[in-house]
Amino acid sequence: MDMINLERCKTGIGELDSLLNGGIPRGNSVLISGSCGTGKTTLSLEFLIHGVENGEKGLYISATEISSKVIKNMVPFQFFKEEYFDSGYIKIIDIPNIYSKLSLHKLEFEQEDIDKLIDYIADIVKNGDFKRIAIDSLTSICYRLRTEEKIRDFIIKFEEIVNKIGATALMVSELLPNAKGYSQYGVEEAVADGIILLGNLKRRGDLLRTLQIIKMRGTSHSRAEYVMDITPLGIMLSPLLKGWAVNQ
Amino acid sequence: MIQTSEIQRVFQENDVVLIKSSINVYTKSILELVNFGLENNKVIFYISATVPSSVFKTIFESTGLPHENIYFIDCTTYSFDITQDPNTIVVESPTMLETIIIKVMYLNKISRQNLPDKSPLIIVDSANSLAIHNDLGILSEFFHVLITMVRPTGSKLAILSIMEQLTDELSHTLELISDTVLTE
Repeated sequence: MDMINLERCKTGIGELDSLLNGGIPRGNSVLISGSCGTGKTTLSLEFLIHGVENGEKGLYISATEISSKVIKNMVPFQFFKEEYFDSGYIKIIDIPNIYSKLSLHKLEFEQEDIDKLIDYIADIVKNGDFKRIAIDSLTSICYRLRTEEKIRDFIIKFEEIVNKIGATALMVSELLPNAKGYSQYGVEEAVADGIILLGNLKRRGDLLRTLQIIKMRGTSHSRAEYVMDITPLGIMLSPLLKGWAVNQ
Repeated sequence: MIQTSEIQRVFQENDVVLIKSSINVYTKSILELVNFGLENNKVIFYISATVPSSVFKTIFESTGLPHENIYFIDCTTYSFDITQDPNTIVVESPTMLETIIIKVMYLNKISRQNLPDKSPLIIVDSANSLAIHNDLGILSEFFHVLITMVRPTGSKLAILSIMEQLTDELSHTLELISDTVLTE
């Protein structure tokens, strides 16, 4: 039973929505944390594509790959529909293009640069009526913010935009393989409304992808670790079998 | 050897059947089981942990069994010989039990889309082979999760085992998780 009956934004990944008691509470900004190869980008794009199926437009802010490559990598998936991208139901914008448009060339942003960036994102989100947003990755933006105060300020302002328009956001957080926390700078995990941790579990020579919901404001949720597989139908989950770990 | 009619009878009343077969008639029992599935409008998900799926495809072809509605989850080929066969999914190791579960659920979704009039028959070949690679604790957990996940889908599950190679412990566990036991 759920404590608060908040409106849900279904990710469209059946098992994940079940673990979240119906989906991400609408208006939340959620960290998708994980090291390389754990499926962060796939999860983010699948979230956006399923959104279009529900009549919700999606915005993908890309800092790691150019938009053509992002689309090309999604072609093998059965849920991929190129027309969603062609018709603008999903808009991809490259972070370097934003920096260039706003003349943000400094390696370390000042407060006014952050405000400019936030205002620009807010305009795009409002004008495009986007209800689902993915930033891939937040870490690369944080790299230019450098200090904890600036990172906190950026995320809080971004969350305000998301919440105000009733959108839901995924913020990709890149981790090193043996990282202890859920974000590179530590601030991101404290400010985010939710954290979904993607991992690589090495077990007797096998490398299993895992998924675990660490926190999600506004809902009760699973806290167990699941094995995740990326299939042509998208992300699928199975309970992690624990028999192997009984003595660990 | 277990007859198709016998298999039909037990699956009318049960969802999860442990089949204990003698090593001498093991392949024949598999053929009877597959035959039962095909005659009863089922799509077959064959988890092969004993011999590569290519061997069974050859056997099915030589015996005239149509195999277009048989999908393999092959845990023995590893990735050295990844097949382009659209009916075969390779799981890199029989120790990746969760991945096997996900592949079963994936095939279930695919078959619901493409073959909506057919219900799945899942064949695990075999409990003995999986026990070589996995300890009993995780293996029982695997079967328990698999059964819990497939039962609501209307699937039938046949767990094959070679009688002469079954330890008492494994046999007891398999009997616990199965609805009934069919012994050759």
